[in-house]
Amino acid sequence: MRQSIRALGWASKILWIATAAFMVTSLYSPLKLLLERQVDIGSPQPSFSNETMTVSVPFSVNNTGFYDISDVEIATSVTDCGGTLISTSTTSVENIPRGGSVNETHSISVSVDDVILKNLTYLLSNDAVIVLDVSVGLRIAHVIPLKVSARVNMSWGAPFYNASLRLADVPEPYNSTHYTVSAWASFENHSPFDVNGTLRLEIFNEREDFIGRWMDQVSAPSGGTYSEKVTIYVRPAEFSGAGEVHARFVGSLGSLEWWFTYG
Amino acid sequence: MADEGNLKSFLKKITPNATKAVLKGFIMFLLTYLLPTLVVEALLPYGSPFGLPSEYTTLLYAFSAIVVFFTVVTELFSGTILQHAFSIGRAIVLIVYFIYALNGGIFTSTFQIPEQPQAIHVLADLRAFLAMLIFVNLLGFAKAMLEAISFLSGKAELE
Repeated sequence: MRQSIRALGWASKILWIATAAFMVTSLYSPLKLLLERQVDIGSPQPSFSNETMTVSVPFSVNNTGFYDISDVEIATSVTDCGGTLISTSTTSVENIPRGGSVNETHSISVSVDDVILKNLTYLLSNDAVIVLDVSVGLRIAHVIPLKVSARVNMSWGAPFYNASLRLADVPEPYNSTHYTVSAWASFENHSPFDVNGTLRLEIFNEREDFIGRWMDQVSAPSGGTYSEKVTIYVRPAEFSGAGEVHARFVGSLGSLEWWFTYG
Repeated sequence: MADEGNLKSFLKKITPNATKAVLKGFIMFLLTYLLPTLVVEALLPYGSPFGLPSEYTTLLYAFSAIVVFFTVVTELFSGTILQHAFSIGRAIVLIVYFIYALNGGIFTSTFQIPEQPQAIHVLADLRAFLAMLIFVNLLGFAKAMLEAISFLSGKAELE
């Protein structure tokens, strides 16, 4: 009996020390990385291709902690202020061994088709606040799951902010068969992407008859403004002074359409 | 005169136990309160956004208080059945304490980012730790039970 009690006593003491040491070191391990600034998050790199906006965030982790960090999963979800989901993306890193490091890039992609399908076209012409939910899940020493999450409000700059089209009320005679209608098309590009493409305007009268068109290349760098006076040729008999203009942009941001009324 | 003699013998009997209790209680205070506080202060410098939340500081005090209290009373009642009863009690109280302190194994906390409206939420699944701590205390419980049985059987043999 005495031997068993002694053995239990020693086992209890050793396990107490081992548990306390493991607990302290494993919880301090991820904190150590943060305090020693071994987690580096690079500046976001915006890009645009195949009608998809992508923001890539490079990051690196140098595991100077006491244990391996495994099952790392970085998840982001972007929603508008109304709660509509715009995009979700996940980046996984299987294992960052103790003493090892990893360089990865987390990409958040939003396709223009999705924006249109989810009825979020207002984001193309209106600045807004979007909500970015970030969560990082990992496992310390292959045993302790840890999840860190944060919600960040970000300002979204619209690529066609304040898009407007104003037609002159009175057409001017051009020749015996046509009049010219002057129009002013403008927008500000508040997005981090350049806007390049073709803008086509089609004018319809009150009876919804097609009466004239205009087409040209537009270019508005990030932070720039597009403002152009355009001339559209119409037949006087068809121009009633009121109707609609169909604007269609095809270019770096994909294919987008707007309807403006005039008169 | 007889009362004075009784008091003297009582003091003679209790002094070694009381001295031991004070010493062990002090060592336990150092190990469970002063050492963790110093470790936390050393690892997480003052002003660090990753400081121990206040509710967990309170729980650390409570842990220290439990350990010091049971160490002192166990030592004071050394050589009696109460010593083993308090050892058993300590194991049970610590198991309950750990389940409460670790919130059943799920640790959650929120840290405010300095000068930012955003906050960081942390969730850690510490059920593995909780299982380890419960196991260690169950070992302590088993040891105290065996000691109590041994003590009672020894007493019965003497009688």
